[in-house]
Amino acid sequence: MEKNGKKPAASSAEKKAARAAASAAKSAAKQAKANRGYVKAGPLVGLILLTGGSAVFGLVFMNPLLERGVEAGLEAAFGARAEVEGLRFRPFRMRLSVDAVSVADAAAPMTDLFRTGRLEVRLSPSAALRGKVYVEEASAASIELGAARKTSGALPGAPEPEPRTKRPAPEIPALVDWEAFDAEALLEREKSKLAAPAAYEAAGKAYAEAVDRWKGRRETSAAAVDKARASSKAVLAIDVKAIRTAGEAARALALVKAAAADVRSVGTEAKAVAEGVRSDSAALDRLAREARSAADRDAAYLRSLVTPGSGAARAALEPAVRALLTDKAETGLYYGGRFLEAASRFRDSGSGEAAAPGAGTDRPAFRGRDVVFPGAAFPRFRLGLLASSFKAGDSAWYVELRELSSDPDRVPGPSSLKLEVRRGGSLVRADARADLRRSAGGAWEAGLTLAHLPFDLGDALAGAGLSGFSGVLEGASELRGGPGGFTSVLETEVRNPVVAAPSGSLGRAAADALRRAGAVNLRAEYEAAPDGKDTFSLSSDLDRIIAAAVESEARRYAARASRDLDTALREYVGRDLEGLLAPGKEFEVLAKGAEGDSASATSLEKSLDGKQSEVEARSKALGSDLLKGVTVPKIGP
Amino acid sequence: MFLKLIARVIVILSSNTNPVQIAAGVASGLLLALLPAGNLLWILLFLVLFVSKAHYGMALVSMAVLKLVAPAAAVPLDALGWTVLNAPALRPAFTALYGMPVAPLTRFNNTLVMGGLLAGIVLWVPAFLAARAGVTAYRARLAPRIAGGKFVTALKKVPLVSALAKAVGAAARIAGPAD
Repeated sequence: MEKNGKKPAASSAEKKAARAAASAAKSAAKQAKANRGYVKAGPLVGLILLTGGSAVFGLVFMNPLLERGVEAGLEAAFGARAEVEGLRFRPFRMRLSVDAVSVADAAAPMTDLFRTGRLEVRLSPSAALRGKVYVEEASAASIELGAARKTSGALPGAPEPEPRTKRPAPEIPALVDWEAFDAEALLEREKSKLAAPAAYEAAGKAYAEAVDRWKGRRETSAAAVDKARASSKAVLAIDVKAIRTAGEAARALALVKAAAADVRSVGTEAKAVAEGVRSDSAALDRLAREARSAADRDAAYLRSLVTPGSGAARAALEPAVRALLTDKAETGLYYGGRFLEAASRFRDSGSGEAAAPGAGTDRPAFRGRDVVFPGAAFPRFRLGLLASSFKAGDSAWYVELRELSSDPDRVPGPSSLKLEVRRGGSLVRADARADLRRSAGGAWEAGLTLAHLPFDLGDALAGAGLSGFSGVLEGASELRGGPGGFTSVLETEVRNPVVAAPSGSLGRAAADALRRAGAVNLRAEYEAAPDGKDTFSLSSDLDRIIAAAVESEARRYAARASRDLDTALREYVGRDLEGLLAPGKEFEVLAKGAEGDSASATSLEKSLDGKQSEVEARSKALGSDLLKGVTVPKIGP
Repeated sequence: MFLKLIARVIVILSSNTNPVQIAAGVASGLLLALLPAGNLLWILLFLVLFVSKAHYGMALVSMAVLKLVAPAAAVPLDALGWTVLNAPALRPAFTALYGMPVAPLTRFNNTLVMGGLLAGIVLWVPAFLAARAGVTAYRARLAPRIAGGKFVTALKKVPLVSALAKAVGAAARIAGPAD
């Protein structure tokens, strides 16, 4: 029973074991089947679905991501906040459109460096497949420079920019009004420009310093000479004939020698003082002569102010023209500089010269170095052409930017910017090229053409009696530069020059002469040096025109005015400046005294030398007397 | 998290999975760890791993672990990549490749990518052989000894190890026979 009773239980266990074994075998078979081959079908399908899902996700979120990417790129290039609105990328057509792009000015965060209207961009698919961005062509509906912003465009943590200071208005020298000519008043007005006061002051100061330098030493030397003279009296009084013995002669000789040594020492110092004073005297005399010749030059300058054709008109015009040109050029150069800076940053970011191992410790991880192979078709970023043609107010603008690249050595030409502004019949055309290739060293050049451009100095020349000087500008300018400096030449013609409200006799004469001449030529040269020593020169035929127009009147007035001015200047020099040379007289006295001391010491020295010779002769004579009658034995074989 | 990772590794090692697949996973993880991510080459290699029968769980584990030590190898990898990329004999080939579409997206011209790829390929075979031998040895000798040993029995009483054992059990149930 027991066995029979156990049998079913054993059978059940066996069945369970058999089922388990069958299950394990089934599982192992399944596993073995799964392990066959090299590719899993399930993950492959999953991967395809994942890729499709990623593509859909990318298409939905691609535009905001790209927008942020473009903003980051622009912010890195311009160092200020950038905003890209409404970016839409159509990858299959490789077209990109943006509703607006604005980039703040890092140097003036409350203004935009530029702001564009709608942008249409065509990208190169070939470059995109190579991981590069090549904008083959872009067009902007409008471009605006320097527009005000509502919020600051400074990047977080960016240093506070230095405010751009407006240059003070230049001082315009007035042209002389002959009818109410006042030599004293003109002299007073021009005093700050005269060279003589400074020259006189320098000479007087040099004299005073020389007196201070030599006075004490000369007094000490004079006292020493006096003392030596006094102490030598007793020695010089020695009666040589009264010396009877060799012993007396030796004592007298010792006294004379001691006195002579003292006098020689005193004389050396007296001569050194006289020599030094003489040397300074030559330099001081030269300074005094220069001061007087500066007065002569000042007289010539003052006379030129009342002599038409001498450059006075040009001198009056120069600061105003320079200020006008500087204001206009500074604006252009400012924007040029900002874009050049951004282009340089593009270049520096895309050369492929990454940091060496260990360098750039601020980086989170070392990212290796990119080796750039020659002949690569595309740089990392290249803007082939950005063109914009639009109207702003009553002006028609055309902007064309070519070949902006992260690697200028890999594009066919230098970066260039063409700008044209037409307004009415006038035209301003700028054509700039910047060669940012490393071999070119960042050289750039720009040409500017002006045609029928209204020109109005307003009240800039009012002080010169030429208020409302206007005309029409025709001309051209060339600028060439590199890192640190540039040179520019502007050659223009002011056609139909008109002075709306002339004042003063010369102002009125100039206004008439300009109207009759019909044109004035101007040539301005400006050189901005890296050391900050900028130079500006202006040449014009304005003086010739005015001089020719007022020649006869000028002869009459200018001669008299010149005489009056000369007199006024001489009086001023005699009254106020010659006094500055007063220390010169004291120095003269000092020099004479020093010479006297030197002569006195020399004379005393000679006297003592003579006395020494006498004593020595007497000594010899006494020695010879002693040896008389004494036979000296012969020495030798 | 860390315990589960260890548990998962133990489960993988102890399961019926072909040692060749585990070894391929370990070697592929090494290759992906040496290669900087964020380029087309890395993505392609990852996809190949994903659809291949190499054990990607093991690959992910080995990649995660080796990624931690990969920065230490950056300097020699950079030097290797620089040497290869600047080898005069290979320059024409690289220049042609650089000008081809898609190829630059792999960033093969980066010294770390090139160095990592070469080092990964060269080390793949030894890593594969070593891992396969290791798994076989573990299953044949180490696993039974560890399971039945007095030391392990005593160790299982330690709370941390007990937790680990539970995690292994849980992971084994979740993983099932497929792992």
